[in-house]
Amino acid sequence: MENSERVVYSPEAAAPAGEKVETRSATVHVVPEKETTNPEMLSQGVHVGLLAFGSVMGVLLILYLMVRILQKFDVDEKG
Amino acid sequence: MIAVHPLLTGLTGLGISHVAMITIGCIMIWLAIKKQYEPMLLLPIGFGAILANIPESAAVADAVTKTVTVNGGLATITEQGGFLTTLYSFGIEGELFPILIFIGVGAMIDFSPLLTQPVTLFFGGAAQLGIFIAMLLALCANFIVPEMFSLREAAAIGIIGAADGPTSIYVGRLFAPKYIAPITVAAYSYMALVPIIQPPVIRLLTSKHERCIRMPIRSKTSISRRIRILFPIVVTVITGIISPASTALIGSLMFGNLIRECGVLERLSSSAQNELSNLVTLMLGITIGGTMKADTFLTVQTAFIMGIGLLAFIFDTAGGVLAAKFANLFLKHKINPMIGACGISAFPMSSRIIQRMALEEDPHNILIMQAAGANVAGQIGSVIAGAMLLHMLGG
Repeated sequence: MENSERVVYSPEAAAPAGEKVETRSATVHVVPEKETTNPEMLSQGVHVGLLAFGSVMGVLLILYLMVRILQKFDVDEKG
Repeated sequence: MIAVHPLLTGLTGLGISHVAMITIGCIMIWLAIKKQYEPMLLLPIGFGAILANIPESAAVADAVTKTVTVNGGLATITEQGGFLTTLYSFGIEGELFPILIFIGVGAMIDFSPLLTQPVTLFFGGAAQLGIFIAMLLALCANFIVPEMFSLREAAAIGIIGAADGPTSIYVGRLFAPKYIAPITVAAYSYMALVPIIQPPVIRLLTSKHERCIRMPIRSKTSISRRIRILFPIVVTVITGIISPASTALIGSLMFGNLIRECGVLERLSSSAQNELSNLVTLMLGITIGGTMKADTFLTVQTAFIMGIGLLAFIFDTAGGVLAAKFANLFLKHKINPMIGACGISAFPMSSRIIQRMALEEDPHNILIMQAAGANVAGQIGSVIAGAMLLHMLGG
């Protein structure tokens, strides 16, 4: 993997002498800084815009259903 | 070189750009007083702009840290910045102002019209269309002036279309702090111009027959106190879980509403609606005005932001109207499509405009309850839209 590097977490150095320590390692993806061209950014914008707009409508749909459920259980205080 | 007398530094530092900005400040004050366009904000913003553009103004001086020699040793002294700099630091960068304003707004909003007709929630979403179109327009502006706006800055510009000052400030401060002044000025200015912006767009997209559609009103008494109390809690939990980035904004809005609806905090509700809102609005306005310094405000970017902001409001209105027309394809009892335009969260101005337009078409057509429902739905929709952008682009 071109944009990955091996990162080793090594706490031995900081641990007191004689204390048992665990050594862990993890692979992290390092995304290099890259210039984004205008068409690429516009494409990202379309993607984010559609996703965000869809999400807004989705959240409102859930709220709508919740209000309808609340109304169903609303049995007291009705005039 | 001739030394300038300290009393003349203000005069010698005065440039054309300063004069232009002071003139803009005066125009805002004139609009606030003479035309009564959002006077609670335009007047403080205008005066803040004047304060910020007086050369060497102490009101917007930056905090300075100096190292001085005291008794043979070195000491660090921090000189306090101007009062507008301090207010900006705490209120805008520290996000206090938008949050406190939302508590006040929440305490003012009655969600009963929305709870009576929950379908109006969808108009509150559809009328956020302008946010996303404005974001794309800001990105398209990069084809005219290369590398003008990043994706996050474009999103901050798009949020002008939320027609919601606190949300614009909240998103703008995170995504485009250098454009916070034009974004806020555009958001509040166009909110004030809603009576001029919306009617022509609505007339363009609807027929006279559609504008005359009457809608039956359900009695407000059918909404119990229990629902009105549960609603802000449910909205906070659901939106907070789906989009944690929205918790601060929607939470403060709903907290204010809970204070109003609980029925046991009359004094706090009254304080939030009056003293808190007034005080924070006053400080917010003058602080935003203080960011309108000539060197950062009189730019080509500001011109683009103002233009795109106007288009955002137009597309918001169109989105709401078209959503209502679309819904009518499936509904037995037709909705007056003008109601959709109220989905922008310019509350309560937008619903008043729609009621006025409805009465112009049919003197007996009362739509104010339905319009108010869509209008408060827009308040929720705009916060969720802002939160979604924060969530997706990394707030």
